[in-house]
Amino acid sequence: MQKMIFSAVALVAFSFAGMANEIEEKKVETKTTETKKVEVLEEKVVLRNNCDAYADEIYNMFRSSGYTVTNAHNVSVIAYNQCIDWHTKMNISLRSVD
Amino acid sequence: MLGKIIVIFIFIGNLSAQTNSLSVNYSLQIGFDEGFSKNDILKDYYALAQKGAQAIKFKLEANKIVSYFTMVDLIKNEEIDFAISFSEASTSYFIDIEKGKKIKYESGFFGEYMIEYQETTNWKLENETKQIGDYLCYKATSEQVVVNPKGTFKHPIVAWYCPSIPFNFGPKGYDGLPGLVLELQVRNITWGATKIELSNESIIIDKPSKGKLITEEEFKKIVASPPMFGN
Repeated sequence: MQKMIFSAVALVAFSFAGMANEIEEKKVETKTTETKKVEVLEEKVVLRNNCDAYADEIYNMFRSSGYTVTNAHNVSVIAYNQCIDWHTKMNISLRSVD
Repeated sequence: MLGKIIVIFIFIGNLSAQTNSLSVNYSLQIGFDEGFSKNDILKDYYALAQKGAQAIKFKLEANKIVSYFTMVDLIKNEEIDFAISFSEASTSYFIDIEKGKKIKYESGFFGEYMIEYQETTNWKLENETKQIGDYLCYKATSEQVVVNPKGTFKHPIVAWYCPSIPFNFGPKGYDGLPGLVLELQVRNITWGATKIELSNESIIIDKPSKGKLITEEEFKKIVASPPMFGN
C-alpha cells in the first residue's frame, strides 16, 4: 500500500510542480555617496519541495470535498509528515519544486 | 450512504425523577464516502481513518444544565491520527444552558484555543423511531453547513434522541433536543452511545481552561491561511 501511495506522490509532485510557490523577495537599495552609487541586492528565497506540493494538493482536495479548513489542515499535515518519513526511510532527497 | 453502527449497550443506574447527572460513552464509526472511494490518493488515507476510528472513544458528562463532551485519551498511531483528523475528534465541547455559554476546545495544528460560539442547530423532529438498547429513540434531522474558499457545502445530520432520558445534550455539542442523543450521524461519521451511567448525585462540571480564549471569528481568521509545511 505504501508503494502505491508514494507512486502517487511522484505523480502528483510532477504534475503540480508548476503550481508550487516560490517566494522571492528582492530588495534593491541604492546608496548614493559623494563619489559613487552602491547597489545592495538582498535576496530571500523560500523553496518548496515535493512533499509541500503533495500536502497542498491533499489540503485542496479536502476543501473541494466540503470539509472544514480545520479538517483539511489536519489531514494535510499528517500527509506531509508521512511523505517526509517515507523520503527519510527510503533515503531519497526531497526534490525542489520549481 | 448512511452507515450502520453496532451498539453494545451497557446501561447502569435507574432512571428516576431524581436523576441529576449522567456519563455516556460513545464510539466512532467512519462510513463509506463515494467521493473518496474514487480518489486514488485519498481512498487509502480514508481506509486508514476508517480502521483508526474503531479505537476512538468519547465521553459526555452532564448535569441538567451543563455538559462536557471530549475524546478519551489514547495512544495514537497513523490510523488513529487520520481518524481524528477526518472526524475532528480532538475537538471538545462545553455547554452551559443556564449561562448561555458554548465553548469549543481546539487542539491541533493551529495550537490550543477555547472558542466561544453561538451556533444552534435547527432540528426537524421526525416521526420515525428506533430502539437503541432499552430505549425508544426518535429521529431528528438537520444539516451541517460548511463554508470554505472552495464553496458552500451542506451535509445531512441525523440524530436519535431519547425523551425518556431528559438531558438536552449529545455528542459534538449537538444539543437542544427533548432528550439525550444516543446516536448522531453527520455526513458519513457516526457517534453511538455504548454505555450510560445515571446518578442521583448533583455533579459540578467545571469549564476546562486550556488554550487561549478567542471568538469564532478570530479562529476563522487564524485558519484562513493555507498551511506552510516545513518552513
